[in-house]
Amino acid sequence: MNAEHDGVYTFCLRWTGDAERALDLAVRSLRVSGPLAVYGEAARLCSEAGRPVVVASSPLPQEESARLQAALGAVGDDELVVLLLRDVIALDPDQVARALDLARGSVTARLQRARSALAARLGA
Amino acid sequence: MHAFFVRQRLSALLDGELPAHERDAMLAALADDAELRRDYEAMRMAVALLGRVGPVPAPAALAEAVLVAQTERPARPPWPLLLGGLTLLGAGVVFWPDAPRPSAPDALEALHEEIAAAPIEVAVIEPEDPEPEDPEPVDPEPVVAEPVVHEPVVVPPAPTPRPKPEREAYQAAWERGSQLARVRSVRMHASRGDVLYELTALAAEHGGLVASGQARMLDSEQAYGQLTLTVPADRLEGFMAGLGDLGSLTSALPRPAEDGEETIEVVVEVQLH
Repeated sequence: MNAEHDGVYTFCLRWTGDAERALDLAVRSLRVSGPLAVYGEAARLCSEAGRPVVVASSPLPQEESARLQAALGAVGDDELVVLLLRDVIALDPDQVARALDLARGSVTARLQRARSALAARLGA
Repeated sequence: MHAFFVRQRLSALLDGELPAHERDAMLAALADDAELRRDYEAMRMAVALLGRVGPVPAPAALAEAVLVAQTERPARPPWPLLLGGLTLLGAGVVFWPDAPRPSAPDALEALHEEIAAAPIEVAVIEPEDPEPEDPEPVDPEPVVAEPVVHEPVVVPPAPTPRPKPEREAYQAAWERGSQLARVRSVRMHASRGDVLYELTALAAEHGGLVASGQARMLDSEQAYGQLTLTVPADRLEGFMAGLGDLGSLTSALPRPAEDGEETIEVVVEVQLH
């Protein structure tokens, strides 16, 4: 079991919702060297591949999954990348900053925006 | 602590990232404000829900595909190999077509494919011979490399990521000042209204606080915001570097710090459009 492979694959799977496409994107991402750079590359490739994020095949019950997916639609692309890396892949904010080559403050701010939007949508 | 600022820091509170004094102030504000508590709880539930989505194990095919990808030849023009070939030509190497092909390392295959579709053989002639004897015609006629290239071959270095222009501008301004220079006034352009929230977060990350703030619409498409922030003197440089990520710095005025000054007041004016 390789945590990096799992993380990158999960990111690509959640972004594309398509196992075959996620596998292809994960392989391409993992060509980049550097333990965190692979996440940055995955984010870049997935952003190019387009939205939406799909959580349909997640362990959540179907109804909850659909609700979450609809709520994620309210989150912007830049924020979504940070949200997935932080709250799904469970990277810490410093790792997210390094993976995406962002200032730590930008990660904090994006995470705040993403979580606020998600919470507001889920609560609505 | 004002509810506005508490609301902008709920995520950091949830992650346990706030310094003790700010965390205590946040918790006190939450205790006093039911609406804030509701927002905090909603965010906590949303994060918990996302956490349940969790990582999934990668299929075994991923590890295999990565291994295969690592052993594949990179799909790019074999310029280094071609340049190496030119160097060989410069040293007097002649390629003889239609002759038995020597065993070649995989890395040279791209070069071979590029310069001859047919199998090749490599032979070396002496380039320094001042009076070469008239060679007997050889059958098949060799293809001799034409003009010999003796120029050193320079492979351009891989491009390195350049820092953002605004960061460069700030860096230049910073270097023009002395080591003691402190930036007190910053003007910047930004395209997102929530850049003021990001400024707040950035200041807090560097141990700073928002002393005051204001924002107003200039017309239907432009707005103006101003924040007065207090940042520890020894962390100002990091704070300023982070500003470059939030927008385009149009001016940053260095001024000398006063002796013993522990905190620096920075006025950030933001033109939003």
